[in-house]
Amino acid sequence: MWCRPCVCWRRSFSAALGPDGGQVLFTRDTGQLMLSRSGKQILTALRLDHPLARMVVECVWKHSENTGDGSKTFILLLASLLRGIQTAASKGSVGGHVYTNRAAVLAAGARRTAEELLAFGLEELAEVILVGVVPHTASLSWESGLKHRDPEAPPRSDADADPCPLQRLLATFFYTRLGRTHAQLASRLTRDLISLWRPPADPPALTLRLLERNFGALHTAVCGLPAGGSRLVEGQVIHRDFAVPPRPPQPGQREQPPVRAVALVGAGGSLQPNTILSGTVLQVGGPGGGAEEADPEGGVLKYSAWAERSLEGAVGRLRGLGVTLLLSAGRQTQAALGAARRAGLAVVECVEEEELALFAQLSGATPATVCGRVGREHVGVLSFCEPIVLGAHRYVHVGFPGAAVRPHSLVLCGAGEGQAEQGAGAVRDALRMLLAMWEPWQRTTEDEHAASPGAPSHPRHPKNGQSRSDGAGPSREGALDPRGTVPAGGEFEFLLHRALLRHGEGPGGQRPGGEGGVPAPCRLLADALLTVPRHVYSQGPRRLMQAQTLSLGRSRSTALQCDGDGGGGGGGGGGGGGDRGGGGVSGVGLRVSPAAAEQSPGAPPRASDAGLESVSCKYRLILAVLQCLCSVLRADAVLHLHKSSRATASPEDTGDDDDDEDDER
Amino acid sequence: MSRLSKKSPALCTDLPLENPDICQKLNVFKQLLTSCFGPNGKLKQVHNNIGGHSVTTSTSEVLLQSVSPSHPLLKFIAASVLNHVGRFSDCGLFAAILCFALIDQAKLSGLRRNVSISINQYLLDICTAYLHQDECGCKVQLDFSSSKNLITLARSVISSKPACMLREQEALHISMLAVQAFLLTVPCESPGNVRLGSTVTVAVEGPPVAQSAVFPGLMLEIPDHFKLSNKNNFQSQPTKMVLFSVSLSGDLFETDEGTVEVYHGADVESQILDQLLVLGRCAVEDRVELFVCQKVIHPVLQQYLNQHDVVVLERLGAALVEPLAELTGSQPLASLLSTIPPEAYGLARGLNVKNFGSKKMLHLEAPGEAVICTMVLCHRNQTLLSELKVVVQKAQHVLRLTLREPSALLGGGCTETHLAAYVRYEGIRRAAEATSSLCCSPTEYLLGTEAFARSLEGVARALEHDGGTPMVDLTHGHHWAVPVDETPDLEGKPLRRCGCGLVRGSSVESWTFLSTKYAEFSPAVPPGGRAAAAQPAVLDCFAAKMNALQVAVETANLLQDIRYIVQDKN
Repeated sequence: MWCRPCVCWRRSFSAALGPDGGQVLFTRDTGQLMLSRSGKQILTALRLDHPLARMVVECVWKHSENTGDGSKTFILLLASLLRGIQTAASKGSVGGHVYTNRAAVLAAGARRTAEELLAFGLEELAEVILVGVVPHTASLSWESGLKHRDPEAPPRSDADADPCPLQRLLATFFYTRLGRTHAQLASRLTRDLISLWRPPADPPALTLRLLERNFGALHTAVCGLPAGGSRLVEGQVIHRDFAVPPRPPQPGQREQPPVRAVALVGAGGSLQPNTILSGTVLQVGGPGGGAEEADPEGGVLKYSAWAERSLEGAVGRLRGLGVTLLLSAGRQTQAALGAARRAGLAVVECVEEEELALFAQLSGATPATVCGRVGREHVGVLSFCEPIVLGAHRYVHVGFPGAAVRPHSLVLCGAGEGQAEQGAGAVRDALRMLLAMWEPWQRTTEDEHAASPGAPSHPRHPKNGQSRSDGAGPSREGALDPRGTVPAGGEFEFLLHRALLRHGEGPGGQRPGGEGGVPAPCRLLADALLTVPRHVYSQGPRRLMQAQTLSLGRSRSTALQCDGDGGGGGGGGGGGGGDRGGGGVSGVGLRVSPAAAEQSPGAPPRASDAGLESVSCKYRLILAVLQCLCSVLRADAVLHLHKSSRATASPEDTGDDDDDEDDER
Repeated sequence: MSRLSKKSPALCTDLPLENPDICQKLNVFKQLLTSCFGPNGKLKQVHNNIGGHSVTTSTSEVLLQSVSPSHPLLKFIAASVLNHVGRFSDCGLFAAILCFALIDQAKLSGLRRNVSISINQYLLDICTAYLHQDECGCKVQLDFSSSKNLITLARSVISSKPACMLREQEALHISMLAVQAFLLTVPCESPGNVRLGSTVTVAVEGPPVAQSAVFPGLMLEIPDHFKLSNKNNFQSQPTKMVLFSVSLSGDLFETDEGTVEVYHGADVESQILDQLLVLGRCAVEDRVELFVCQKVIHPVLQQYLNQHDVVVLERLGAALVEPLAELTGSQPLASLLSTIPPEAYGLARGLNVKNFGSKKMLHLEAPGEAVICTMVLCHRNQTLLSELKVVVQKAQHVLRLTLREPSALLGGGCTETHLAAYVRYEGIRRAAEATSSLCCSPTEYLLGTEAFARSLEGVARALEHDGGTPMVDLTHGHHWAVPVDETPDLEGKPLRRCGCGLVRGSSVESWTFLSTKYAEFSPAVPPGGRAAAAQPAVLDCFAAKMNALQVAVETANLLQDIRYIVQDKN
């Protein structure tokens, strides 16, 4: 029941996986075209019907919201784990059972295996990674990542000759999301964006969080221009045109006076007081007694004149504060625009709340809610304010004075609408990925909760399962460096595969239960992990072998170095990478990677081999997959209700068999 | 919930470019676009199956907007081309044809997807770098002290759109008008950032093309019964005018969401009319002679103003408010309650009435220097006129783009063949460097280079529709078209002129057929080719062609990269 949907997605995913993967083109139901290599978007666009499939999609969504990456790997891992469990369960249940019960036994076995896997993931996986993978990682530090960067230098000066580790991490990410040709540009732009936004003293996570939250207001997608035209522009781009343009500077004036701006938000953010709100009634020529309708002849005009006067008053008040630019969330009336034009007050209306919030944060001014009560604290000073033409649209471009932070906006170009949007989505996910690496990760209570039902029935730790996950687990995780990176291209999977198979061995390589004594969850997970590189290198099986050998050689040489036998690394390397050993642990990623390109000329693209992947993101990915797996297998029946949910008569339980009443595709 | 219809699952296609059905569709679309290309392109008549408006065109923009392709891949290409045309107005068909040619050639070369994509990108970088060089052999510096090259540029745009049905003289006339209008919108004296003015285009159906003209200032359409009174002296002194953007029809003001209750005896209309008349009196007292409103003016107010010799113009339309305000220096008034502030008045000069065919228009000019002009376009019928209007707008946009990059590329297919020769030469010179940085084998690289060069030549070949033989010379790499009734001679009798008209047949020694193999050579710059005095007969917009080249290669790369299509069928 659970296997089929997963297997049928594999095709569309493997199409887009890894550096060699291609694009997937969508047409939405609106007829809009979308181009993507992001697994999250592919899943959403498939419009899956099956409730379990939708549950999986939700898990993927949640995971990629957190880490920005790994949604395709998620599905591949999940599918291969499911297959593994199925095979294992059917092997284990042969004989000893009556045939009619076999399905139930299978399901129960599968469920148990999934729970074991999850418990293993939550309790021991961190340790396995710590032992088997972490010695081969290089920790990414922010300062080393950006030390080459001189913000004053023109962006092309470094020529990407020796890209820093941070940029290599980004390049690997963009390689799989935007394709080879644009990966370098996108990673450079992202790196520059972050370094320009970050105050020197602040931890990177704060900047990343700020950028990620405000990404919608920070980028502009421009279509019709080649992607090479993407760039950073100083200041903020407000995605509206002037309703009233600023006055051109007087010919005699040399120096532009600083622009003073006010942001108006909320319902009262109109220059003209609209006293006739819905519900209120203006009576004209009535029997008398009210305030406004006293004069039967001039009622309407009197009211309008009053409105006009208060409008003039509001504009005059803004002028008195020296304000020359008004950003308004709502629409202003024609009369208000006319008054502003006469007063020399530039107006931008219908600005998104998100952009106004960012504007307020950058300019340091509080947004005003009622125009009549604008004070000094609402006025922000800008260094410039001018129209900017990006693609087909004219927007307003504002700049902020200040030295520590130099806010920049990202302009992303693409030949079609889809391409520019794709670039924007990729940059945003890259920010999420970096955030996942720099922000301390707390395992949520939900995660813990998911593990608890499985823990008591855990066969290997029947009693202290709960306590372990409370005590040892988190401390192990703490030791796991969130910034650790491994070379991309299946390295993590190879390492973890081997580490899992060795897990539980004694110090001398002796296993208590002999050779076949690898714990079942370890073996399952280890086998499933290998499907990922297998798909990455699906174009050439030879390259998979090469990558694997290379990784093996690398890990051996590192192991030798770790033992203090660095000089022997050259001879000890079984694969091609070994002879490059000799540096410290941190040098592994840097040193061996070019060798990979030399090893197999013509075949592997270099950027992916020189690239880096985050270990902690991978770890979180595996945990997310295991949790999803567990919840998929815990469901034993799918009930399709054809009536509205209120009219449901007591749904009859179909029992614990796999009898699903759905109509799968 | 029960009313919600079930969403149907998406339709998926694997490896679309290898699907024969899709290839067939791509091919048809390619032929459709290719047959429109160039001055001898064939026209397309588009009409839908329920009748209605039919369009005759050969421009990519109009064609792609009226033909909506069904397959996502075609939609993708069409969207890319339309986006490019939206930015640069020209070279849309060039981009589309090059894109298709690249896909075809990549398939023919049998290269792996990734290899072909990275080689294309590498060669594109070579091309763009070459085109930006000063030594580029297919670029001409534009000289703004003479209008000749500008006219050539405009004329190349106009004559490459045969659906306008212009004779040679007419095409020249329209090109000159386009350049004249362009020059009128460039401000003579303004320090710092130059802000270009605008051209308002008025289309008049009926009169011959030769009657089209450009006027400084604005032409406002007026009703038949409109008359300028003789009492005013419009010619000698500036006319004071006022412009309203609010309706003066006597409507109630905007009341937002509230309700207005009107009791018996209260006459709201007359109150507002009184206020209108107050405005009118104010205008008359301030000696306003021209009273313009974007919307409708109450007849009573009109009559009052007419009695006081004020020229009244209503229903101006939103599009003309801004140019008129800019021309006269007036501020559009959005309120009828206060008195007219003195700074809101504007000045106009030289009011007079002009007739064009069935249309009667009021011509007014700015009191000082203004960068607004009006172009009146005439043509025999509606279809031709709408195409002409599009084409002239394109020509003007192309002229404006020259301000950003004051150079132009040789037209007539010469840039393409020249670039192809350069790519072969330079690409092979850099083969060692390229193979190591692209991680491909030398054979693959050579195949990729040949495919790229042939795609470029394919665009030049697409210019020929009547069975002529396209050729290329082996000195400058220019494109030569041999008419169908002549037999091409590779050695003896020289051809007269190349496609762009810069190279004479006498200065070339040998030719070869286009898209045959030739020994690579470094294409030479024609004698005097780079000088500003060089006057080729056909020029293309540099910025537009540059962008089209990049867009075409990027789109082709993306198309090759598409491995899977998901169509939402809801």
